[in-house]
Amino acid sequence: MKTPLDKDLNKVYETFNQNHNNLRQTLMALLPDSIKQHKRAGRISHALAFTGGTIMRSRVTKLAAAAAIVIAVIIGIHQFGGSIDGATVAWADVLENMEAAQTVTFTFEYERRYEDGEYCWGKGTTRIKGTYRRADATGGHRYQDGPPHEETTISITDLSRQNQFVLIYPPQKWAYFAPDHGGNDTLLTYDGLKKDFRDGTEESLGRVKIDGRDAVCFRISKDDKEIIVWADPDTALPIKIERTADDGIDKIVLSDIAFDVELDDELFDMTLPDDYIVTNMETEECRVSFELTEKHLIEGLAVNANALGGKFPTLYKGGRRGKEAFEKYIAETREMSEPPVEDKFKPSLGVEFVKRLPEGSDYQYVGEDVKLGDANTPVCWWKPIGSKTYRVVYGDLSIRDVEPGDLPKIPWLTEQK
Amino acid sequence: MTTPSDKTLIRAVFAGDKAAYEKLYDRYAPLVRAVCYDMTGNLADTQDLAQDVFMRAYEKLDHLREPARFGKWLVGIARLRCREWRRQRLRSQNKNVGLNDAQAVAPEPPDDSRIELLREMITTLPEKERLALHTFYLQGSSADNARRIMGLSRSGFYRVLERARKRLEQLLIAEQENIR
Repeated sequence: MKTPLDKDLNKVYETFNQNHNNLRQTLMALLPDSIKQHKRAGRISHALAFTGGTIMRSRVTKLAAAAAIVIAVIIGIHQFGGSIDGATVAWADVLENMEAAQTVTFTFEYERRYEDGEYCWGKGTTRIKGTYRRADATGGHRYQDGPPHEETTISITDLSRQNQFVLIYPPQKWAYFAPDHGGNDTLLTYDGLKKDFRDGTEESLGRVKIDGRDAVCFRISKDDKEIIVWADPDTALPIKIERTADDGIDKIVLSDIAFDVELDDELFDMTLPDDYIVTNMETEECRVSFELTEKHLIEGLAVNANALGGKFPTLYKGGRRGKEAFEKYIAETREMSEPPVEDKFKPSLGVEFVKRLPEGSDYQYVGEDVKLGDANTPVCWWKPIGSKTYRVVYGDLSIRDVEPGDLPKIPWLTEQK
Repeated sequence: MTTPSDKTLIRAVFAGDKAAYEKLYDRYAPLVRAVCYDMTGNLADTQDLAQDVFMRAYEKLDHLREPARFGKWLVGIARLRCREWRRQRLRSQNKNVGLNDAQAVAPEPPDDSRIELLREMITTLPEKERLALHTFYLQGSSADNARRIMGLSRSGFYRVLERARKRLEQLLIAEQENIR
């Protein structure tokens, strides 16, 4: 049923139908018979734009003028000068459109080459809806001549909830949750660009062709960044954006940019599936939906030892105390090579197994400098609740039951106790 | 008889059927005028600009990548054309300081004052809400057509439309209280 407001609104909109038939007739008379003659139509349009609006007010005069213009076009007289195309796009139009858009999607590709030879790259899709940002990316890095490491992630943040953030690794079914995204570059690329657009200085580079399309081009400079924007001359919406920074070391290209497309809210749902392992980056608590066993500890130790060239690290959720030991461990983590993607989270699961041992399990890590494969030297041990013996892991990753009195004597451990 | 889709009509235009463009004009001209009115605030300029938008769209039709989104594309061109108009007008005003305003602006046709007031109020709404009203009331109160032009889900469209209507109701109440 129509409300009084509906009825009034219908009346309001009736006014936009005024004179419709006459206007249609006028327009159709001016259009060329075939769309293929659009170049000619362009001349008419430009002429009409020039004469319309602020100069002639009388409808009769306009019709007469339009007829004269048709004749002028037919005989090829160009009396108006300037660009025959007529369309102009100002940088302000592009900015205004970007600000007005409720949703934005684009694909991105980035690369950064560091002086020390490290190379990072990534590509993916970003979707923006209101305060939500989501990036589906595949990215990686390579240290000097080392093997490349690539991984696939989904990151989502909600800027309206103190930048709440999830980082998801779908192949590994692992996710991180954080109360803040910590300035995630990939997620905030578009926001950063908009800020640079507002704060930078722009220069129009005129009309160009890009990927077979007409575009208007702008260059924006801000600090060490140069940003090139190609915009659709018809809608003043960006088609492609390329940002280079740091003398060209850092480069990102945004393409396939679409505005105000429909994006399902589910895309921005930050609820993590039950079968995912979820680590809270603030509290370091880990949600694991399955039972952790010795197998997870062994796998975690193996990954770390392999990453350190075949020896166990100084610390693994325990170990020698003190500043010197800690600094040695930090140095080791810098030396560690990147584990294969499928092993990336195994050390964390091993640590989680240790964290979940019941109170009184007497876990000790003594693996500092023990060689992987050494069957005689212990790496760690613990006493399962109710057991009279300890479970001892050796350098060859075997596990044996050992009487308390037979546990190896470790000097620093005796001192610490 | 089924109504041909925008895509079908655009194909026909490319095939040389100029009358198909007439159908697109009938379908979208009132919407384009409403969008232009938001910027100009007067019907004479609105009609001129809308004509120009359709001219320009015809010229650029081969630039339209997704014919099914013709309505949305057209609204984009209308917004851009309106901004150009605003800039031209500012330049012209600067040049013609002292020109009698009565000569520069054509008189508006007489109108029902409440309707005129409502039309003015619509121009004060946020752009998205204005477009929701335009598309809905000019597309035969069809939410499906309107939401397609706006690129919104059905529920999303209704949310925006409801927000616009509520805002208008509040503005009308405030206006009535002012009059009292």
